[in-house]
Amino acid sequence: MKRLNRMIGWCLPVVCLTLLTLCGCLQGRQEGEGFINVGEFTVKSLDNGLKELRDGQGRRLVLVPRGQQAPQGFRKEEIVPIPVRRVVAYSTQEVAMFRALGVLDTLVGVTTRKCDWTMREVARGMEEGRISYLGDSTSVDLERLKAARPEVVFTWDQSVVPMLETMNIPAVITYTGRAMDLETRVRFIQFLAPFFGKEREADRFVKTVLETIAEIRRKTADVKHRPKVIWGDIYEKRVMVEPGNSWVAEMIKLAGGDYLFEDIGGSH
Amino acid sequence: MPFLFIFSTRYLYGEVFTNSSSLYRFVFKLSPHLMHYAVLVILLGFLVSYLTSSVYPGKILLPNTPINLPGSSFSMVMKAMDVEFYNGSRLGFLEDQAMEVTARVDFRDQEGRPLKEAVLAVNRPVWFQGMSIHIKDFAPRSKRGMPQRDHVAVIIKRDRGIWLYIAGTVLFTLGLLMYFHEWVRKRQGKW
Repeated sequence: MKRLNRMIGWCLPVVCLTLLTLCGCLQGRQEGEGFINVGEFTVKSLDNGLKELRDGQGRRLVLVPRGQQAPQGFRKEEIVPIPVRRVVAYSTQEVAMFRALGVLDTLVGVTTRKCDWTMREVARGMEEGRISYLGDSTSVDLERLKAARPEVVFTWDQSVVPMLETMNIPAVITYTGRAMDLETRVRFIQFLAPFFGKEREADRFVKTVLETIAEIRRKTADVKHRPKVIWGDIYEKRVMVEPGNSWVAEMIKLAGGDYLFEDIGGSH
Repeated sequence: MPFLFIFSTRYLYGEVFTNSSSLYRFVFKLSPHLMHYAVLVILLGFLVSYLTSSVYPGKILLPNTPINLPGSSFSMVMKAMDVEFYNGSRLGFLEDQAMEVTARVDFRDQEGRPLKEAVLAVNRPVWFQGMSIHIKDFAPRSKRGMPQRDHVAVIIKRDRGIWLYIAGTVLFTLGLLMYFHEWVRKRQGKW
C-alpha cells in the first residue's frame, strides 16, 4: 500500500506539469505577433488582413477588408468594412486623432456644435453640410444619425448601442472604466488606425509624440519649484477632478507641477 | 471551533475507527493527494474555461427593449430597474449617489413567450440555460450630473469550467477534513 501511495504521489507533478504546459502552449498560440493592446483596447491580427478588436467595454468587433467575406460567428453590427469611409465621433479627442491620421474627410457626424470647434476643417465641413451635428451627446438625434449613414460610430455612451444595433451600425465604445494614462492616450491612435488602414501613420505619430514627451521629461526633471496644481470641472455644484492616474495629471507633472490628487485613482 | 470539530468527529466516527483497519488508515493517508488532485481539478476547470467559455461583456439592457442572448434563440428584456440613492446626511460625498441597483428581467423564447422572471443585482447574478448574467455598470449613478439614459450593462457568460471549480473546491475541503481527522487520530495515539 505504501508503494501505491508513493505512486499516486509521483503522478501528481506529472499531471500538473502536463496541464500547465498545455495551458502555456495554448496561450502562446493565441497571443503571438500582430497583437496590440492600448490600455483596455486590443487589436489582434487574423488571417487574410482581418482584425479582431476589443473596445473600451470589451465588446468584440471584426474589421474586414472591403470585398472580403466576413468570418462566421460575428453578427452584422460587429462587422466593420475597412477602410472605413463614413464615421461618426462623439468625442472631439477622436476627431483630433482622425486629423493626425489624415482621415478627417471620413467624418460625417459629430455631437459638438459648429461654434465650439477649433478645428477649421470640421467647422468648414459643417458649413458645407458634409458633417452633421447630431445633437447633444447625451441625446443624439437618431434620425439624423441614420441619415448620416455612418459605417461605424465611436461613442463613449454605451446606452446608445442597442439603438445602433437595431440599425445594424457597429459601435465602438471609447470609454473605459479606468482613466487613460498619458502613453495610453497617445497610443489610442494605434487602436483607431486599423479602421482606416493607417497603421504606419499612427506608429509615426506615436513615436514623435513619445519622443517629445521624453524630451520634456528630461528638461523638467530638475525643476526645483513645483507649484501645486489641481485640474477639475465645476459641474452642477460639484467639483470633479482628474485622478492621479489620468493623462492630465501626467501632463501637469511633466510640465513641472505637483498634482495634488496624485494618490487618487479612478475613471475620468 | 476546532474543539467542536474534534468532538463531532469523535462522536460520529469514534466507534467506527476505534479498531481501525489498515484500509481506513490508507484511505485517510490519501488526504494530501486528494487536496493536490483538487487543485488539479481546479486547474482543469481553468483549462476548460479558457478553451470553451464565452464571455460577452458589453450587453446593454434598456427598459422594455429585448436583447438576444448570444449563442441561443432566447431573449432577455429588462421590465424595470430600481436605483436606490444614498439618502443619509452623514457622508456628504455620497449625497445623491446610487448605492444599489436592481433590475427585473424576463427571459423569453423565440416566440416571445416568457420562460423565467428574475431579479438581477450587483453580486447577484442570474442563471439561465447554462448562462450567467452579471451587472457590470448602470446609469444613472447620480441624481445630479450629466443626464444619461437609464440602462444596465451586463456581462453574459457561458462557462462550463465553473462545475470543475466547484468540484475541486468540494474535493479540497473533503481532503482537508480527512487530513485533520487523521492528524487528530495520530495525536490521540490511536493510529
